[in-house]
Amino acid sequence: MPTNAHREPAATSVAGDSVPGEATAAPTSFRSTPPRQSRRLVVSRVGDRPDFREHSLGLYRPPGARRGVIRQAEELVALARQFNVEVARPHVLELERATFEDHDFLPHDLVRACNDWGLFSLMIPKMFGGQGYDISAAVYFFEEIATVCPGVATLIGLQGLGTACLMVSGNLRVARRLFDDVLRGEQDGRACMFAVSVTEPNAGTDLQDLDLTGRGQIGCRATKVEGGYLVNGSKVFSSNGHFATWDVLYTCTDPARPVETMVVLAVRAGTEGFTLGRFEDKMGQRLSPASTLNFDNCFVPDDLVILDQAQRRGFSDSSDHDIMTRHFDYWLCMSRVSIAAMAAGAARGAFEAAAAFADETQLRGMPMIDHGWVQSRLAEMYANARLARLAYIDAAGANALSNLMTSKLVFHSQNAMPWKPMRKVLGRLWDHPRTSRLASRMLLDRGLDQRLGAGLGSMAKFAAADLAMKNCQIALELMGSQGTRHEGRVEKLLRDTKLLQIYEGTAQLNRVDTFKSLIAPGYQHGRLFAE
Amino acid sequence: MQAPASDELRQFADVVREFATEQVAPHVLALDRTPFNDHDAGADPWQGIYQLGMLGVMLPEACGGLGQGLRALCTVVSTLAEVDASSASFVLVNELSQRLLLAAGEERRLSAMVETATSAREHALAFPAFNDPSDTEILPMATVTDGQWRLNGELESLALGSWANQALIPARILDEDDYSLFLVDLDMEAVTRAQVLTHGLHSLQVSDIQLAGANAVLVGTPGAGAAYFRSAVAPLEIASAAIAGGLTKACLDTALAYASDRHQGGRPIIDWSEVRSLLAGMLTRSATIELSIGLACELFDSGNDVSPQAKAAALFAHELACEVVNDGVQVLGGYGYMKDYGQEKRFRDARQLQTLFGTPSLRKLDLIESLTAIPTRTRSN
Repeated sequence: MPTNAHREPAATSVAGDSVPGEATAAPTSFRSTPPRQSRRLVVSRVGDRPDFREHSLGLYRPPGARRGVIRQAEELVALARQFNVEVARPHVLELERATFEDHDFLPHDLVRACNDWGLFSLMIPKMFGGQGYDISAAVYFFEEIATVCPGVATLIGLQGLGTACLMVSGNLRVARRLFDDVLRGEQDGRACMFAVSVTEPNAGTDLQDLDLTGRGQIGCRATKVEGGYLVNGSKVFSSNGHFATWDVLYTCTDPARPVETMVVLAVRAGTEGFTLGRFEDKMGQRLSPASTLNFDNCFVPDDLVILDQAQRRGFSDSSDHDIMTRHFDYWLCMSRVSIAAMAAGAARGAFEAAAAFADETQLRGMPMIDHGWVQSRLAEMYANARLARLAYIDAAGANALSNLMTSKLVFHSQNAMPWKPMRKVLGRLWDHPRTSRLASRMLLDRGLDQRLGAGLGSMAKFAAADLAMKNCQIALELMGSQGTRHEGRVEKLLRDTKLLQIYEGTAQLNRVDTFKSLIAPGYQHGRLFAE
Repeated sequence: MQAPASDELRQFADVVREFATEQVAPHVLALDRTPFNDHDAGADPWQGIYQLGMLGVMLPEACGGLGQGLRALCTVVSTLAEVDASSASFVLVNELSQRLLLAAGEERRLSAMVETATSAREHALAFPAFNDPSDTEILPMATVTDGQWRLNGELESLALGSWANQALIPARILDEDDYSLFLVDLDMEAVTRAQVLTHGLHSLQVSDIQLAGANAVLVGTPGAGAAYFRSAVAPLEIASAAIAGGLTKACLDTALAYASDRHQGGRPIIDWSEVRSLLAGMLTRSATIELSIGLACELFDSGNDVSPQAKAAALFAHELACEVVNDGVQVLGGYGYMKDYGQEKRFRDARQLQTLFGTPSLRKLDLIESLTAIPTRTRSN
């Protein structure tokens, strides 16, 4: 490792067409036969230090707690710890160094390993053949992975984001098609990943808050033509764009009314008129490329439209703005709580590195960890990591209460039904237009009140990311020059963590969203963006 | 950096600024790519630094330097740091090595070295500037046979270790309580260098070295290394804060320019009060650094020792700088995280700079020792 210093050649996809950047070669030094969930693994890894149960008291009593979520979380923590031991920890530094040496380097081996370990179908519902892990359990997985590498957590987390975007559109027909590709990819060793493209060169925050979107400089647009849409324009900072087989593209037909005319499309890599631009030279999270995607008269057929105005027609009296706000809130709740969990992981990773360093280092005649001031700093870091966890557990709990996708009904039906033997029959059901229409209406027409989940998700994201940054900084100050060495891992954690304050809504925007959802409703005044 | 005190210094600052803009700025990206360049990125800009006399600003004229005070050095490094903090740190590491030789009473040797050097590389002296050697667990051992000193063992984090021809190496001598300093030719076979990838200031080319019986020349008195270090480093702690000051000024300027240009919600983001609040925070911190460093220079140049208060201000300046660069990235959002605007490099450089001359937490604790004469160091009972 690393073996592939350059982008891999285009591969033949499952459908027979060419997909740039798709991983194809046989696994090299990664473990190729990962363990599927087993009780034995759970017992062996959950018991590792730090003790999972001791760390996760909040998991056991959130409002609306489901026992099955605890079991899922235990399985996922065990899996993540095993993955960290066998894949992430031994390889991420070397892989990152390769990205410094050669900017064109992409960690295809790592993608392949994630695929082999089944990490790209973790959150695909069981009714579609996936592993059906609930977001309230998956957050623990993201924390564990991020203790070693937040970049790898993003690489995997984006698949969850794509899955969420598809599910909360209600378009089960398109969702099934894309999920099938992921599952097939796990069978034949050709990773099928999702990217979600929202940000544009001149509109970042504007596209993360629909109250601002109407005032933004939107450049990418779709034009309705017979049989589909023609897309023109660019998207930037699309995480995993260079790995993705499917891009979930957010665009609009009228940039002057971007929310009302918003269109969500599934665009397959290799589609004519869709090209990959550069991927950014980032400070951190370098194992998850942030890509520029260019669309030049790219035709997307109607059967790959995830959500557009035509599908929203006939909903009750909900405005397009309300419908799209619900759609965004549903997936932002899930993605922001996942990032908060990654931040908790980074905070823990910094703490663990600093504590191990202090334990191994002699300072002025005694072990460093015996100095009182060092113990206080470590206690502060421990508290920060734990507070970050509390923040995301709280937000995940709110999600369980107010997000239809994570509701008790969905959870129990996922786990109670024998989905596997029913897949063929269900395929027809998911493909039926009425099914998608019903699901869309249930999710988006009236939906549930999202304020608690959205607000706590935003709050958890900025609070946990700030705590993680604080821990990385304390670790560097404790470790001095040792902390600034690449092999010491802490400096990488700091670089990786900084992105958690920026993507999926900056820390500033998430403060606004927290105010909007949790504070403003209680006061007479408090209009947003009024100044 | 605050406006230089004299016309002469002002003119000097203008020369440095012009040099930095014309001859350092084009190399900044390549300097930051170190050690992954296929060429020596420091060759041109650092040769220019040497030719302008910036590798001896405080060095007495009798030794071949400019013989200027601390304010002049701070003016040079802060001006350079507005363009590239690693080039400014290159100046500082050399200044430290020279001051160590002076503290050891090695004026004659230093004069000869300066006189015979014909390039920046020949002039440069590597030193483990990111550590206080007293707090370094592992140092090489020095032994002497027939008047010839030899060094064995390893030394971590030698700044300029992969670039310079010579180094000033701290090593222990059996039966001496404290370490001693030795001059070592890094090109000899008995020295093995392994470059380290650091968080920031990449072009300083930090190396770990292995010494296998390397010939060395003792500098000053055996066991006096720590005393030399304490005396030499004191004013340079203020100069390192001046680098942080230059870096934060550039960071603020970049953030202001971006915020004026970038639109969000239909208007420049500088019109949003939360962005203004971030910028205001950056300004208050940046101004605090600049003014406190200016005052510290004035006190030192008028004959005062570097007081604990001045050292405290320098340490605090680094903390403030780390906060400024964090917000500097934040104002630019995703673009701040990419290499394009230089903010991410400043983010890394500021934190690397904070570790110059030793672990910041320990240096803070040592300030109390200097105020109260109660040792911070733990005594084993």
